Amino acid sequence: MNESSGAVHPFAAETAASIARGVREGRIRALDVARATLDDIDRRDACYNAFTEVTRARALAEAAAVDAAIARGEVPGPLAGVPYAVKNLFDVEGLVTLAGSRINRDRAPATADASAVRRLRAAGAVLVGALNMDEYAYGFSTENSHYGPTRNPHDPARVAGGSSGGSAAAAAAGMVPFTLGTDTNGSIRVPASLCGLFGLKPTYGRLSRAGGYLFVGSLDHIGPLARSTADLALAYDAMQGPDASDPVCAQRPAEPTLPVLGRGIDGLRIAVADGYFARPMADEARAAVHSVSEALGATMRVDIPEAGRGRAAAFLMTAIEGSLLHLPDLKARSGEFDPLIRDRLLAGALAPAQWLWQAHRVRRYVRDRALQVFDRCDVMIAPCTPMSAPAIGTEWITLEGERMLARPNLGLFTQPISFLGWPVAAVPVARPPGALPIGVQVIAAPWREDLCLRVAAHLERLGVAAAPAVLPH
Amino acid sequence: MTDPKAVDWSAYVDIASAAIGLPIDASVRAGVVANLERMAQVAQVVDSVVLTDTDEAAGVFRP
Repeated sequence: MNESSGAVHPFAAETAASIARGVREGRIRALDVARATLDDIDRRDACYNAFTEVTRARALAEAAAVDAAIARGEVPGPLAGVPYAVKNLFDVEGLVTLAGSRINRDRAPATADASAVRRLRAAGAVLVGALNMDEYAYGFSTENSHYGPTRNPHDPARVAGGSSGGSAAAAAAGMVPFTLGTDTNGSIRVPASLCGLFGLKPTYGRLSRAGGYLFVGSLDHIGPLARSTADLALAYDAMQGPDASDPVCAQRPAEPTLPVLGRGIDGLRIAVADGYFARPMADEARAAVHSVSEALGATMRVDIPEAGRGRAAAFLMTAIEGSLLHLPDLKARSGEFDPLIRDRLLAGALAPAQWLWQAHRVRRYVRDRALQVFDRCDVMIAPCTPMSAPAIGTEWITLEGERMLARPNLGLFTQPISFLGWPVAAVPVARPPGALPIGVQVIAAPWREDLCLRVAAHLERLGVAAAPAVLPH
Repeated sequence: MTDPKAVDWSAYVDIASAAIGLPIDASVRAGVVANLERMAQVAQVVDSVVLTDTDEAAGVFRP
């Protein structure tokens, strides 16, 4: 990697919160932040391949609009002038929504922004681009055959994780303070863990997915990735609220989390997930759980009932629903799919209907039993990824003597939780300088994102959780 | 469910692909069969859950 990869722009170390404060107070101009960010992306992204599109004109226009609003004496939103970028499955007006594919390049550009993008714009945020991902979100590594692999900013020879790999790399490298990703089986949490970021997969149905290209509608979530808990909460809060254009989005009012981040963990019953979540993992994953549970004084161990069979059902729903969405293209142009997913999609399209129907019924069965765990605790700690980032191209891994496929098993610990739809914060565990990042999952009951974020913020204050700085390569 | 190992998944691919009009190119056929075999093993795990008639799927359709 070239030397310039370590050069950063003047706002790179700033959080979204500090940029928004500076812009609101008139100390910095949104336009200056946008220009510096765009120039930095131009200079550094070749090292990471996080962006598939940079929306320079739009970013400058949005930033100028924020500055103009301030000049008129208007109160800008909570994300005034904050640059961000989105996984390229979110509709951005005027851009073709690639969803990591070659096939979608033939489609017309989006005529409107996705709901989440609209809400972030209304909050004053400035969109600077669209980000790389696994094709159609079907992967955990962002080794995209069409657009190239996204590289981990902490070691560009390694994967960034996926499927929101570009989202993780862009935030971890400091090119933007936060990004949007999506999570069907772990696609926010896996790259957050491997790139050393905070990530939030909210409760299923909490945030609107309207204008996002579906992967598996029954399991799809959207959420933010950031280098601090406060930024995560800022972005999350700005996107909350019902949206009639997403049939899954809950009719719940916004429940802001930023005001409660400082409440600490008093009164919370925190446990460590056992059973399924104690299965083979690398030393660094086990050490991460240990370090966090020790800091939280979490000695109770709980078993989430049916987590293993839940993961199996999620696997089938993903394979079959994810395939059938693409059946017309699989029939007409299967050769244009990424070879990393093509065979799985074709197989999923041929699967017996009984497999899918049983998986859907089992989901309700598992839900009813798994929820019982919250009789004993309010929050659980679990591993996020079974290891830190593998090298790009890794096919197989061995965890405590057990050999398994690398790519699907990066989501070993995340998949059962998204199947249940529970909120989870991925939290990066502080590591020695130069060590590869790894995170843990902080899991709460449905609609209690506030608890996930409170615990994450507490760990951050203790210094146990931190997004590591990227060292020059 | 039938033991996945007792099923001829290669023959299944021929019949199912013909039934839904999905051509399977010879170059990817082995991979498709292997993935179906893997899915069948996972389906066996999911099938091991004993459900009652009242265990409904959790649909979200709201008219």
